[in-house]
This record gives sequence, structure tokens and C-alpha cells, in this order.
Amino acid sequence: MFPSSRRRFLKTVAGLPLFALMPQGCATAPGEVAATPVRAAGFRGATGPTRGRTVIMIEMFGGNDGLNTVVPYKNPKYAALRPTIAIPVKNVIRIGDELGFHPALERAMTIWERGEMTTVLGVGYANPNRSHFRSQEIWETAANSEEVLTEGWLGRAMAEHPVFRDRRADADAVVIGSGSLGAVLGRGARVVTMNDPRQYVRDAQRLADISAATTTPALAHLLKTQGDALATATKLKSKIESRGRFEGNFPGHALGRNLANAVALLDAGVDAPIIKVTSGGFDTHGDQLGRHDNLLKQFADSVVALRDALKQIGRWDDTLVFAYSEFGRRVAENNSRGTDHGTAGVAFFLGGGVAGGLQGKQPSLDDLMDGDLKFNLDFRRLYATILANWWGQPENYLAALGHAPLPVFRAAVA
Amino acid sequence: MTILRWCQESQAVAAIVAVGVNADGRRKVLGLEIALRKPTPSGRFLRKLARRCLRGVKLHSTNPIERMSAGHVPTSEMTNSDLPFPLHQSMGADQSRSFPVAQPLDWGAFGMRIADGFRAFLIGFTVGTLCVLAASPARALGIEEARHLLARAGFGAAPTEIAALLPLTRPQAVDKLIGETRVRPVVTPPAWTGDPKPQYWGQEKWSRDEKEAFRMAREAEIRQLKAWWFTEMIATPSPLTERMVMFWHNHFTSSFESIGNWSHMMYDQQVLFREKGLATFGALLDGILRDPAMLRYLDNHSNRKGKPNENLARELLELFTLGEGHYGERDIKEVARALSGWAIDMKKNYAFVAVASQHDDGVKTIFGQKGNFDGKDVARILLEQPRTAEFVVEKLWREFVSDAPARAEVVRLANGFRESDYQIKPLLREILLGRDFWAPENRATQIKSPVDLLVGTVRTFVLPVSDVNALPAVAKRLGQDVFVPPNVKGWIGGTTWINPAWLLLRYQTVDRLMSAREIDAASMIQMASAGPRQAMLRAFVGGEACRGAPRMLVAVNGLKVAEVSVDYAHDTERLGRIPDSNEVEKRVIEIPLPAAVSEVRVIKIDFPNDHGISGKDGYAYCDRNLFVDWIEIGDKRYATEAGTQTHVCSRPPRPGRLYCNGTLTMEIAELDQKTGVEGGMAMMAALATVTDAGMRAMMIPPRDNVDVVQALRMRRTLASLDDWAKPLPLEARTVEALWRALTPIPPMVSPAPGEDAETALRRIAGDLAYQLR
Repeated sequence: MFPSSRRRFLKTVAGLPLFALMPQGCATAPGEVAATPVRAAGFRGATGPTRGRTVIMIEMFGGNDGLNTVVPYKNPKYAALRPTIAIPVKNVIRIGDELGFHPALERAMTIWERGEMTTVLGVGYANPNRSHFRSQEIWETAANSEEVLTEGWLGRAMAEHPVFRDRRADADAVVIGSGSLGAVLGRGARVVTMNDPRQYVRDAQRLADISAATTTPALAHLLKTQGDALATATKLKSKIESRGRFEGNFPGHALGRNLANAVALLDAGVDAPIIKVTSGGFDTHGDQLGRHDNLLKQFADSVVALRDALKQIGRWDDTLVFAYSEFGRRVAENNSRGTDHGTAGVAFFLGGGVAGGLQGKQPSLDDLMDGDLKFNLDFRRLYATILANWWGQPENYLAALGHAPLPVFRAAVA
Repeated sequence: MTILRWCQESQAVAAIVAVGVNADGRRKVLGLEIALRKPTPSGRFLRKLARRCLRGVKLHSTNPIERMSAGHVPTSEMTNSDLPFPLHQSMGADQSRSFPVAQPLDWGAFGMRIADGFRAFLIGFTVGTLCVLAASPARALGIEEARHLLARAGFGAAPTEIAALLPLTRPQAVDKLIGETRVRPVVTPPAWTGDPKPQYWGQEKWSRDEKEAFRMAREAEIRQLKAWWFTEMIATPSPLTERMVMFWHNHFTSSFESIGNWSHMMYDQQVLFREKGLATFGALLDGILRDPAMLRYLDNHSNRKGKPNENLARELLELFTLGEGHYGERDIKEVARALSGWAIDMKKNYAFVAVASQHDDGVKTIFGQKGNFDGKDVARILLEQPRTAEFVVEKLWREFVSDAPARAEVVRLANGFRESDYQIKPLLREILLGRDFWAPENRATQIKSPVDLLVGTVRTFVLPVSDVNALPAVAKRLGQDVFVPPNVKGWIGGTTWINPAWLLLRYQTVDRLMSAREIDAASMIQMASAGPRQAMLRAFVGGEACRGAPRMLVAVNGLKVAEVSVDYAHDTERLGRIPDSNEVEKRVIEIPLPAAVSEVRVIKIDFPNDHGISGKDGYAYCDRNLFVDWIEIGDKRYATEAGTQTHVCSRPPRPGRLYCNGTLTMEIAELDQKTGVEGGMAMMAALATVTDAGMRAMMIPPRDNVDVVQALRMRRTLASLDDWAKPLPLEARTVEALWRALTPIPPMVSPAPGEDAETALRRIAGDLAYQLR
């Protein structure tokens, strides 16, 4: 009954009591999903106060190939410029007339169809830098391409904006795994890094509770930092130990494990506005098809497991998952069946409070910049969106710099 | 007074001075006594004066309480009016400022037979901080002092290094350290540093592929350079040299990430710092203004007549020589004009070139001087500014002494610096012998930088390091990516090294180093914590690919457990071969062990799909190979070097390098029996051979090789306190006293009762106090 081509059916819509899908004014052909499944503004879900909200950041490090993630399958230039690595039209998961998802995102389509996943297109910044570390630094510090800032955007936001100060969270940010701390480091940021909560509790034992007659400012600073780390660890320890191991059904790879640990922390009642994990390996210079497929599968499997787990503990609606990459990749493939560092890419927002659908504009393949996609949405708007509408801080330093938020969330949320 | 320059330390004392006033009203110092407690002239002191024939004078003391009958010396009262000079010119408790030092006093009678007839003599005292005179025999260093000197002037302090300084006085010790400095590294740098520079320029016609391959090759080079520098810092007999190289790197900053991946130029810049870093500041200034990496980093190659770029000029004044507030915008503009045309000749191997046509040859006015100046003149003029010497002194003060340079000392040191023509060694000597360097209040005032912590720990505890590539990666994670300072101000250091996450990471890092486990980039960065470790086998694997990736078949106890395709293997057809297999990217591969395997006895790794394509000259330009560095089971790591291999095609033969089809066998049970401490033997074997192979790859002539290999071979797994502390004096080898050789202040956590030596060392290394120097 189902056609062999990969079209997604709106199978479950009519049955679900909680929401109705409202196509944005265009007639959809039977059997085809509306281009932008957006949930009605009237939705009433558990939003909770902004105070208790968490953002789980998934950094897709290496430069995720946006063009093969959201595929302009109808455009003949796409296949022409990527003779061996273009996703075949028949495999693409169509989400409209022009665009479709990479088939590896199949498992995440349930989230898409529920309207709990917003995909942002054309994300980048002016004068793109193609060095991993520099571009990552630009993203982490919300800097212009030519300026060097030292504070992470979250580090600064947490220091400056009352919504964080008033929250008195257990920790400002938890970085799970060995990802970069850049985005969260800032004045007095109470950051915790760990591989898994129990290992952290063990490691934190070495933080002796000490006080000493301070003789030097250096020693005073060390003592204070140790005290802060210990206070955080003590709070976390009692929560982590009291809860027992969280039984989720996460995939066994690193991303899955790190997200499982993230949920374990939330399940234990740890209050941290930011939890960050990194998924590496996106630097697909050679033999891209298999590797990218694998990575996007890992991503899809992980976010599905994440959703299930967060639902289980009642935190899906007040958790936002934000996935991003430091740059996209070049349009034309290289000689190794891969792609080189590029510019504009895609980003994802997932969560119970998300409105779903697409934001931004797919960069045109006819208007390239030296073979690279032109961005049309400054990445700092994503941050401004989170600060303004997720954490309820519309007056934030990025807004003051002119970066307007996007309508990512359901009206009831913001 | 010259005598004050010989201060060895400061101490609160009372100085009791006997001053005689002769018939002419001249004051002569007759005697000096230091009282550690009450400022009272002792009877002994007065008797000594009497023995020196002081007769018939009246004793006057400013403090009535101190009036005393001094035995044989007749005393009487005198009133103010009897004195030829006002009483306030004598010394009093509240008048330390009028201590005779400032007055023209004649010390000629000091210690001599007192010949003059004196009308009076005064005994007064001053309390306060006084110099302990060098007239007493110079003291040999104590353990704390030796540690302090080594830690500040180098990286950490190994017991042998401490022991070598103990018999010396402070001047001797400082002279030794300064005398040992070098201008050439001990470890020969990577071979590519001697090659002509690759074609950084003129890549417009290159395909994107070629550009990428070029970029990746340069990034591999900078990784090698980082590893080489860490090796040098660990192996060098002169850590002071490397500390100064780092100091200049952080002063005249340039960053690899910002100069288009010019790896060769970063190396060349460091050569300047090593060759001239202990010579004169003038030589450094001249050198850095012509340094291609610096010219590129601060855009001076774009600084042209009529189109000036002020970046270098600004940072030169603000950060390199004068500091803010000592120049104006006009000066920057004029200096920029003078520096115009100083650029890089892309066609002549990227050498410095002064392009006449791009040089603004008008008259510039810089700090009052007028002329058609160029960069050479700029350097000269800057050296003529008195502020420059002070600026450099202040920076060195902050590096070696404390955060708050003492103004008077800075002025004095700067004067000396200027007068010596900006020689750095004498200045360093002055600083390291200065009162403030040794002052108790300036101990434990500095937080170790990540490099300090890593290199210092390895040097102090004589630890084995087999994957030196890991150290720069860890330093970067802690905030210090060498060759990549965060911006032109460099690493600020101090308390900015510490936040809760980094503090915990520092503890973890030291702990891992102390466990004599190798820190390797892969496992620190990819720390996989997948369930109970004993059910996993980990292998550190890389490879070269040629039209297909190498495959790896893994069998444990005869049972096949995995077949892995090393997809990330280096594509030799596209990117060329990598001559040194140690440089090939490796990753940790995790292989879950089936339940049937309860105890691992034998591991076999098979490489089945060798393939290669040779060119007409017979060279295999495209080659598929498998490289395995180590295997880890549970908490134990085994270097593949210690295994056996069929069909060893590598030259020199090395198990773990599978250049042709073959099988590597690791007899785990046997290896376990051979090792004493946590795989120490295997690790030592790995260390020795990796070192040899690494050295060979670096093409070190045998003569230079010996020191380093010997030095690295001497590093043993930390076995016991006795082994480590043997060179220290007996009294320092107790658990209670051990800290003096390791930390500037007692550890925060006290020893547990009955603590053994091994535990003591770990406790101290893991203490908060260990983060200070």
C-alpha cells in the first residue's frame, strides 16, 4: 500500500488527541506531509517556569554537511556538483517540494512529524573562517569573524542576565564528555565537566574540604575555586547518589552514552541550565557517504532515545535540544568522495516547547560565493532565540547587538 | 649603601649601632650589633668596644630605658646641648629613616682599634627590616630555597636537581643556572624545519583538494612542533632556557592559527627566542621586527607607503616596549610609517625583505626625534626611551617574582639593564638574587601554568612519557595551546588558569601522570567510559590507506572478536605517505569482549589486506598499512613493541607496524609476569624504542642523540620514595619533611598516620599547594 518511494505519511495525525496539524496555507497533495508542520498556538502543554528550563547542546564538531542533511533534491545542480555523494532522490525523506532530509534521519521523523523539531537553514556568519578551531571559537564566543573575544556567549549571558543569577542552579553548565568548554566559560561560571555522573562523584572526592590561613592572593583564589567546586560537587553528589542509575534505552556509542548521562543528571534533580555534549567526526573530507550516514543515524537514534527518556521523567517540555556545527561544507565534492570545509549549515531545535517546521532559507545553489553557500541567518540569532524566548530574557546582550530571535517556540512557551 | 645589595634575606631585627662623635663633631661608626629580640646593647657588645680601646666617653642612649652601666665603659649623661649635632640625627626607634646609612658616616673605625678620642658615643637602635649582611659567611641553600629557585627558574624540581644546588650559595646557584643556558635545543627539531618552505603563496590555481591537503600537512607539522617543544622542555638540562623561550613567546606573541598555517615561520620565530632570548633585548627587538611570523601576525606585510597598517606599530608600543600611557596616537602613526615596507618575500623562501618602493621615506617624528626612519631606527629610538627598560623589567618581575613589582627595585634594575646595553643575563641574575625573589611573602604567589604543571610534574617525579603528543593536547584543554596564544596579549596567566572545571581537570591530570600511565591524546580526549572496563579491549590504531582502508582482525584466546576497517586511515594516494608511522593519526578502537572470554591470555591482530602501488622509480607512493601502538585491557596497557610479529616488513623491525600482511601476537599472560609496576617494563620498552624511532625520524646525529636518549631512559616508573628521594638529604626524606622539596607551602591535607612514602608523594602531588610555585 505504501509507495516504494520515500514519502512520509501523516499517519498518526488524526488519532492524536493532543494537537492538530495546521498546514501553513498551502494545499498538500494526498500522502504528502505539509512542508512545515507547525503546532497550533492553542496548545497547552506543561511549560513550566522559565527558571527550571534546560538546554542540552549537541555540538556536531567537524563541520556537518548541511547540504546532505537537508537536501535540495529537485535542484539538478545538486546532483551535478556531487556526482558520487549526492543523496539519491528516491532515498530522500521529502518534507516538501524542494527539500528533504537525509535518509539516516528516518528515526527522528517521528519527532519532526509531531512538530517538535525545528530545522534552521542557511546558518552562518559573514567572512566565514574555515579553520575548525577558529570557527568553533567564533561560535563559542559569538564573535564577529575578525574579532577575538575571550568569554563564551553563555558564560557572558550567565554573568550578566538576572534570569540565571536568580535561578541559583546547582551548576551553571555541565559539559559531558571531552567537548570544548569555550561557550560556557566566563566570569565566575560554575562549570562542571564529567564523563559520567558516578565517575564525577568519585573524582570529586579528591576535592578536600580545606581552609587555610590565606597568605597569598593566588592561594586565596585556589581555595575559593576549590570551595566552589566542592560545593557544586556536594550538591550534585547527593542528588546523583540518591537516585540510582537511570535506566534509559540509549544507543551505545559516545553520543548516546553522553546523552544518557545528561538525562541521568536531570532525573536526579540536578538543576543546570546548560548541559553540553559533543559529537565529533563530522569532518568528512573523504568517503563521506558512509561516515555521514553513520553520524546522522547516531544523531537520530540519540535524539529519539533522548525524547523518550525525557518524556519518561516528565522533562521533555522544559528541555530544549539545540544541535549545531561550526560550519557547513563546500557544495562541490572533492576528489576523495567527500567535501571540504564550507560555510553555511543547518541547526536543529528539538523539544516539547518547539514549534516545529523550517526556519530560515535554503541557500541557493545558483548564487554561490567561491563555490560555497551564502549564509542568510546569523548564528547569533539562534542564541538570541534561546536567551529571549526560552529563558525569558528578551533584553539580552545579543539582542542589544541587533540579533533578532526566531519564532522557534510555540506561542505558549515564550 | 653597597652593603644592602648583598642582602640574602630580610628579617625583622634591631640594629644597635655605636657611633662615636669625635672632637671635630664627626661621627664614626664604632660597632654594630644585631639584636633579634630586644633592641638592647648587650654587655658583650659594650665590652667588645671597650676591648677595642674605647675609653673615656660618655654613653648616650636615645631611650632612657636602655641606659645602662656597661661594665668597664664609664657612662654619664649628656644633654642635647652637649652634642655637636641635634639628637634627631642619631638613631631612634622611631627614626629608622635617619639610620646612619643615609648620613655620611665613616665606617673606617668599624671593627678597628679605636684610636680617636671621642667626646661621646651614642648607642641607638633602629628596628625594622634590615639586611643580614654578607659579611657573615654566605649560606648554602636550604631545600626550600633550592626548590623555590628551580621551580621559578625552570619547571619543577627533581631531587637530583635540588641536591646539585644544596652545597651552593645563592649567587653560585643562580650563576650555575644562568651559566647552563643554551642557544640550541638538545632535541633536534623535526626534519621539515630544515627544509625549504613549502609553497604558501600562489595557491590560487590549486584545486580545493590540493589546498586541503596542504593545510592538513601544515597542521600535522605544528602538531609535531608542539610535541617536539614539550620533549625539549622535559629533556633539556637547562629548563631556564625553555622558560625564557616561553616568556618571549608570550611577550612577542604570534599565533599559528592566525598566520595562514605558516608552521615553518612559527619554528623560525622560536629559534629567534632561543638564540637571542638570553642575549640582549635590542637583539630580540631587531629580530622580531624582521620576523616573518610576526610581520604576518600583525599585518605589517600590508603596511605600505600611503596605505599604512598600524597594527604592528600599536602592539609594539603598547605590549612589547612601553605600555599604555607612555605614547600617543601620533607616535603610533609615525612608527607605522617607519615600519612600512617591512614585509616578507614570498618568492625568496619567505625571508624578511625591506621593500623600498613600499617604504614611506618621508621624515617621521618619533618621541622627539626626526628623520627618515625605518624599523632599525624605531628599535634604536625605543631602546633610548627610559620606560622601555622598566617595562621589560616589570614583565620579568611578574614572571619570576610577584604580581606587584617594587617600584624602587624596578628603577634600579632598569638602570642597570640600560647601562649594560640591555643584556638579559645580568638582569636575570639581579632579579634572581634580589631580596624580593627570596622574600617569604613572595613564595607561593604564583599559580602554575598548564605547561608548568605538566612539564614540571614529569621532570620532578622523573616520569615516563611515551606519547609526548598527548601533553600539548592536555595543556590546550587546560587553556594553554602552545604556538596558539589566545590573542596578542598572550596568556594572562595567574588566577585565569583556574576555574572549577579546570581545577578538577588539573587534579585528574596530575593523578594520571603520577600513576605512571601514559596520557595519550586519544584517551584523554575521547575518554570512553563504556560500562565495566574489563569487558572491553581497547587498541590504539591508525593506518595508511590506498584505494581502500586497511582491515584489522582481532582474536582473543583463539576466538575472533572483531573485524575492523580503519576508515580514517591516511589516504596515501591523495595525500602522500607519512614517513614516520608515529605521526599517523591513531584513534582508540573499542572492542567489546564476548562473555566467553573471562581472562585474556593471548591477543592476535591480523592485517590481511596489504596493497600498494609503486611508481616507475619503485617507490610505493600508494600504500596500505596498519599501525597499532598499544592494547589496553581493563586498567593495563601493553605496548605492541613488546609483542612478536610474523612478517615484519618495517625498517627497523618493530612489532605493531604492519607494512605487509602479517600477524601481531601479544602474550598477555607472559607480559604480565615480566612487568613489575603496572606494565612499567612494556612501557619502558615502548618509551625507549619510540624515542629511538622518533629520534631517527628527526634525523638526529648520534652525538646529540645520546643525552636525550639517556635522559629519557633514566626516567623510571615511580617505584618508591627511596628511589625518588635518594639524592635528598636524610632529614628531607621523611613523610613530614618531604613537602619542602615539592611545594612552597605545607600541603593543605596532612599526612594520615602511618602513611607510606608512595602515598605521601601522591598526596602532595594531588594537593592544592602543588598548584602553586
